[in-house]
Amino acid sequence: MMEEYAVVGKAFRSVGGSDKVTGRAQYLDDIELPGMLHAKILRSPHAHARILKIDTSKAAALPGVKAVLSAVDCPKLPFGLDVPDARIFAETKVRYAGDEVAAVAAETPKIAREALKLIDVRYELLPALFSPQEALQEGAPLVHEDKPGNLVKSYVIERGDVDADFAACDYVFEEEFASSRVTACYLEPFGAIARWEPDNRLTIWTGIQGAFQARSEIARALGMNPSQITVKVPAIGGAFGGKIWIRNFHPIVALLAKEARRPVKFVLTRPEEFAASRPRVPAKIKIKLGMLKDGTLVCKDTAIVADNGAYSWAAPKIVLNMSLRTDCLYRFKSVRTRSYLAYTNTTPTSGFRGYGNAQSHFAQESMIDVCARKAGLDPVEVRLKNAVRQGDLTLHGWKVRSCGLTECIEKARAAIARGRKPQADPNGTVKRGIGLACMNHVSGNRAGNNFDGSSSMVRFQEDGKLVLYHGESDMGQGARTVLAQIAAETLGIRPEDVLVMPIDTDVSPFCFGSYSSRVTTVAGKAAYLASLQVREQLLKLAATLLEAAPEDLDVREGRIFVRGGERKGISVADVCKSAIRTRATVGLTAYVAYDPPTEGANEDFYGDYSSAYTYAAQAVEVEVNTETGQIRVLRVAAAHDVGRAINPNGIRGQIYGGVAQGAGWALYENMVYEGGRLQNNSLRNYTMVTATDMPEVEPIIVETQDPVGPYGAKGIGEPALIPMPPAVANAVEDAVGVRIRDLPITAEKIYFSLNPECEGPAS
Amino acid sequence: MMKALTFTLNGDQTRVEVDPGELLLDVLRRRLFLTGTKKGCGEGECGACTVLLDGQPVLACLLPAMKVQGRAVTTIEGLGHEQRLHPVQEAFLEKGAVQCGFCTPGMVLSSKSLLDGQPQPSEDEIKQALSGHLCRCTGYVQILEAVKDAAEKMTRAEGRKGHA
Ligand code: FES
Ligand code: FES
Repeated sequence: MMEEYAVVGKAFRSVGGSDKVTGRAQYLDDIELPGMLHAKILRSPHAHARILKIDTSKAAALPGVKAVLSAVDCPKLPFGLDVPDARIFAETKVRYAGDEVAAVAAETPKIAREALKLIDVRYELLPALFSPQEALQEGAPLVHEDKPGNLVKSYVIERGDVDADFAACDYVFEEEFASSRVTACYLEPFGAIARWEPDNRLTIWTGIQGAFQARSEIARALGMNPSQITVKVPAIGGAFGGKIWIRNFHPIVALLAKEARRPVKFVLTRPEEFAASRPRVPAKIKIKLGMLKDGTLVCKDTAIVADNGAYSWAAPKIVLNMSLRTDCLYRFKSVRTRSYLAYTNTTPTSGFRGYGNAQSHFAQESMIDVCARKAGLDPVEVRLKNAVRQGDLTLHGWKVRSCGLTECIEKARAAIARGRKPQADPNGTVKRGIGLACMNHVSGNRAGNNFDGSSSMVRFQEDGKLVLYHGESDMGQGARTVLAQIAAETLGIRPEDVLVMPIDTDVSPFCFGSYSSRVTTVAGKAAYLASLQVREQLLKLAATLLEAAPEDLDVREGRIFVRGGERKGISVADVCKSAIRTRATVGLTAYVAYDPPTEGANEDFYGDYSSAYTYAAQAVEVEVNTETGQIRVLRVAAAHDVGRAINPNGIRGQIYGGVAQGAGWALYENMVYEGGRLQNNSLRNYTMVTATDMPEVEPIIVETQDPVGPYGAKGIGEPALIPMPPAVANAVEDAVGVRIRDLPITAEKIYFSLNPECEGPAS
Repeated sequence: MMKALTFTLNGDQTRVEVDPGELLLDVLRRRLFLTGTKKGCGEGECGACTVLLDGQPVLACLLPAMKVQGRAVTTIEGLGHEQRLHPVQEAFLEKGAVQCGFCTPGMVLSSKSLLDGQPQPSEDEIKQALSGHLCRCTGYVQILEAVKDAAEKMTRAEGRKGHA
């Protein structure tokens, strides 16, 4: 039996929710500063071209224009992540349609827009590369002159003797899968406001997932020290990985504000969001899989070619995830992966919910079904037979401390079987099928030997309210709510009495940010440990007031009492009053920097890098119209091992939202380019799931009580999206016998597969 | 040449000078500082900018402000406040229908308008009423639950009033 808690696991209204339903929550574009100017950015219309000349003089002369900048006016310091190759503006050439060429700050957005039209740029077109396959060919033109072969990064990772194991297998199958370019498409456009302060300090307001990472990257681009910069995070209207890292506009607004000596605001327009935000890294993944007659998965050989786009952001790390993580879902004996990440003249790709893991799950979880079917086995049984289990040490060195994969598979299978619709309608036009896919993910991800933790400061006020400082953004996923619950549970107070502070890098404790589904697990643990320390201080002081021993005291619902003699007690607020503004000099404050007990991966990428791995199985029922190829996802049973549910309403929300995004990616989301220019750069023609086509979803929460996470909790931010595309592909094959290997699974692809005599795109 | 626009805003008679072509969204956000109305796209596709015009949902990002001359506009700020939330707002909180909150003001207003005209809508009617609103966070499930919950509570409250 798991312990019952007062606050953990209970339904609880989200922190900040009432501001959001009343319209008072302040997002970036709601902030107005005195004298604030508005910025617009001129972007390249070409995928690849040399810049012959930029003349900004006419724009600068337009009344109302206060600053105009292009590369010549800016520091030329490279910035970016693993492969820092970005500059603030394109210098000698543009590398994708959307590349930043110049920027204007003016009294109104309208004047800024007018001014952009007055900037004269001459280009000489260059041959452009639109796929990594082209880019990696001998003699291909170079995207960056100093990056030979257009190769950003390659990995070769091998465990065990794959070749010998293949030779001993009963079956060896090989298939290729491809994932499409999709965008996070959060509802609030990304942006920033910059203002220079006395002492040459810079304040940036931006709805970013990792405030401290943003601060150091902005500092790098501008040649400043991080402590000269303050990053403040207002309410964030969704992010999903698309707002983890800074964009060029961050240093751009800072420089415009400096030039104009006025605060400057920049917000992306929706078409800019599409053309110049960072889509998911598209990849072609070829898998060779060896298995035994009884369904034992033995070995796997994978080749990945992925598209980095024109500049490198998180794609190298994403391809690394793609190359490793699915190997740890089943008990493979040996694996080998060769991955190549190439520059192309397309929008730079980066993180989106799943961070590479979603792409490789589409390939592997489709592959398991293909192979099981070919071997005449039940794909779900094959998964059950090979699933990793608690206590396993995986072949990449992960220590599986808690794992509910088997339970998830069984529960999802049972749930989808209940209430199934007929497999075909009487006239045979509509066919239905079911499919299942699994997933594993992380809760935090240590890069090398770096810090992978989080910090928290908690402090009682004189009125008994608790203030909690942290540095992990809440972009809607409910970070603040979970932190408040953990602190309240630990201190025995009501969650309503916890004030979770907004993020300001001058005040907030150092944190990495909200990504890798890490916040509940690592920031939650930091908040837990800090609360524990304050609880000790609180009880010690209460003990003197109550003339009892601290170890005999307990605290619940804001009241401290002597265990066993519940009548004798004192309120937390009264103890706080006696501690603060008195001569007791008790701080009732604690600051904890927590780093999880993992060693991180070595240079061969071997090692335990997350303190809690998460597992899930999602089963779906689909309906296919055999005349039109139209697919509908009818039902989803989503079973997730969350360790321990802290906020069940929030978990349901993450599952529904992940399912919606995953179903959208599976069926229709796809960025379509023509000559390097995005054709569907509007919400009109980039199709996402709406209220009318959302499937019925049954969330199934599996609790495995992780030994490290706070109260046993693990992350749930990304997992629900990951298994959707392969689950849908598997269900489609079950319904109509057609296997689609490239996303999205459109009606058109189904139609032409069902009617091979018609001319059309084969899949 | 600025023009004078007179209309009822959240129950108050309001007069504001606007540019002739100015959109209602910009007038609300920039001139009247009512920033609860959100801009997700500015092209009539996301529903985040929804306000009620004489009780009916309209997209403020497409509507020239002068079109509301003499009419009544309700924005999210006019619906309830922290101490006394509208039942739809209550239900959104109760059911966990709010994640990032960017779609929320528009969703809440369309839901209110639906329930004003149809106190007991079917699931399909709710979906239809919200089909013009994109939400990237929630998958809509808890939003639909919230609207149903609000409908029940409002109907019960009406019933009580009827018997009193
Ligand atoms: S902002 Fe009006 S519909 Fe998107
Ligand atoms: S709650 Fe984020 S868009 Fe709906």
